[in-house]
Amino acid sequence: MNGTADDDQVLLSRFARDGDETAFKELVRLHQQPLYQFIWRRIGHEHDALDLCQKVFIQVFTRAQQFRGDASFKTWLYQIAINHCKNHFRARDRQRIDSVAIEDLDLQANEQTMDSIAELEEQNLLHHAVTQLPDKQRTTLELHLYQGHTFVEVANIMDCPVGTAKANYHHAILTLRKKLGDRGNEFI
Amino acid sequence: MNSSECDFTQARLTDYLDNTLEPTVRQTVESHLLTCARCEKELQTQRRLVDLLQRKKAPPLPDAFWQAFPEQVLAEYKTQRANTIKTTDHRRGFSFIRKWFATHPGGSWAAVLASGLLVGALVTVLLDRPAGFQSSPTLAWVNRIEQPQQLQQLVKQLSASRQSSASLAFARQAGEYNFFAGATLYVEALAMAAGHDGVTARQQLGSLQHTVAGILDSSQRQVMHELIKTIPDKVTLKPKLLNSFATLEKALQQAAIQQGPQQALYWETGLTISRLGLAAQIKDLNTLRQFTQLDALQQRLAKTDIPPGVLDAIGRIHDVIKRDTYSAGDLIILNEQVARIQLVIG
Repeated sequence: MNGTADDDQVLLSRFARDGDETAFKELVRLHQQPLYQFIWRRIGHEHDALDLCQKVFIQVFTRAQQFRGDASFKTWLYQIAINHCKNHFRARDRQRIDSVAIEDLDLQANEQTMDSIAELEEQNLLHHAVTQLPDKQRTTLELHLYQGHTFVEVANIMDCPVGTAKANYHHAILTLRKKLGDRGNEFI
Repeated sequence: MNSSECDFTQARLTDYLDNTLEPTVRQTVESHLLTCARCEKELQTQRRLVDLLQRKKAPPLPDAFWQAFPEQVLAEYKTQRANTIKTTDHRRGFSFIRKWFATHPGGSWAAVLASGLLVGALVTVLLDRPAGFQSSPTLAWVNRIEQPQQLQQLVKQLSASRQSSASLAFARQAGEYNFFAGATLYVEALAMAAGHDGVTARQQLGSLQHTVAGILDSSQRQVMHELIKTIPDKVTLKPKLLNSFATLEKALQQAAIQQGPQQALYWETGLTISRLGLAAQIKDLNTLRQFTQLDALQQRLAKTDIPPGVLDAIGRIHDVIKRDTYSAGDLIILNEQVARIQLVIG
């Protein structure tokens, strides 16, 4: 199987109908790495991304019999992944202390402060800029630019008109360009 | 340069780069770019921005990881489904035991039989296989990974890169095919996790404690408590852990013996059925063939007050075990009959 939309639906129905474990594993194999990349870009942590990747697949197979085929399997898969990422951030936000800007740090030379500074210094500026995008722009950018989804697919996943998906992408690129501003040329 | 032409072009640069412009519009944009250095520069900036964005990728994981990942997801899927069912069964089961104790004071076959099963369950929770369980030469690790060393290396790589959940998951998977190797890997991975990832280590402990909460009596809980205390000790973890299982098993066995030969027999039965059930679940045919004395066990049990359903189930299991070859249907029968015994006793 090459991973076409038809293949996906055939494999899913083989699992839903017959409990075919080979079909289960083949579906995971076809989508595991792009899905992992997508989740990793959203949450930026390998360990959590792998856990979420597994959770997404398990939810997909748990609900396999509910899949109606109105949209493609890939659309469904990424809708579930986006929801899991949102839940992940909600849970994390409940737990963490609000992050502080570097200028707000108490610059006493303790070990923890030095780690914070080092972490900020190492942070990838561009990735950080992406994380600051409005959620819809960021999701559209990630689905289209990174994952290679067409705008029709993005629109299906995000449940919006195709024109809106295109506009979100356009604004995402322009926003990044503006955010990088004067340092954009140096950075790029 | 004509400002309106620049505005027109710059508003379409994203679509131009994305190759989604209508041919006529694309031509207009290209014509303008040939004559406007400012728009051409902006195009190059955006192009490099897109290139840079596309280069951002997660750190690569070993090929062996992705080869094994579908199997891991499938195993986790099955575990979660089984846990959902077990949770329901446990609630029903323990209330059954409590009712039974209420009407049969002074100990019972159910209590001891359940203890035997419990040992298997405890070990299963932590190591996925009971201590003393034989390795399986029939299923080489290998339907998925050609060399066992590959899986071992993978676990060690994941541990070293502090991916605790993944390393523990694969160690458990290793244990499915070779108990001793898997147990060793699991303990090593857990020790690594305890060293750098307290959250995962605590989750493992929490899961273990949650599973046993409310099941053990006070003396058993004390043994279990000692067992759990050993886990975060990464220096002497493995020997303590294995020793604690032996201690727990011995304590339960002695408790059964003290209650008389009948209780000891129930203990033996519970442990036997638990181990047999695990062998059937992982299709460890060589280990299954070692359970050849079930007819003798059945005859000894027939002299006690054990329910006839348990005797019948043991007889059916024995009929399957003594066959020369096992079909998939045979293994299903084994699992069904083991489940039937476990359901009867609680």
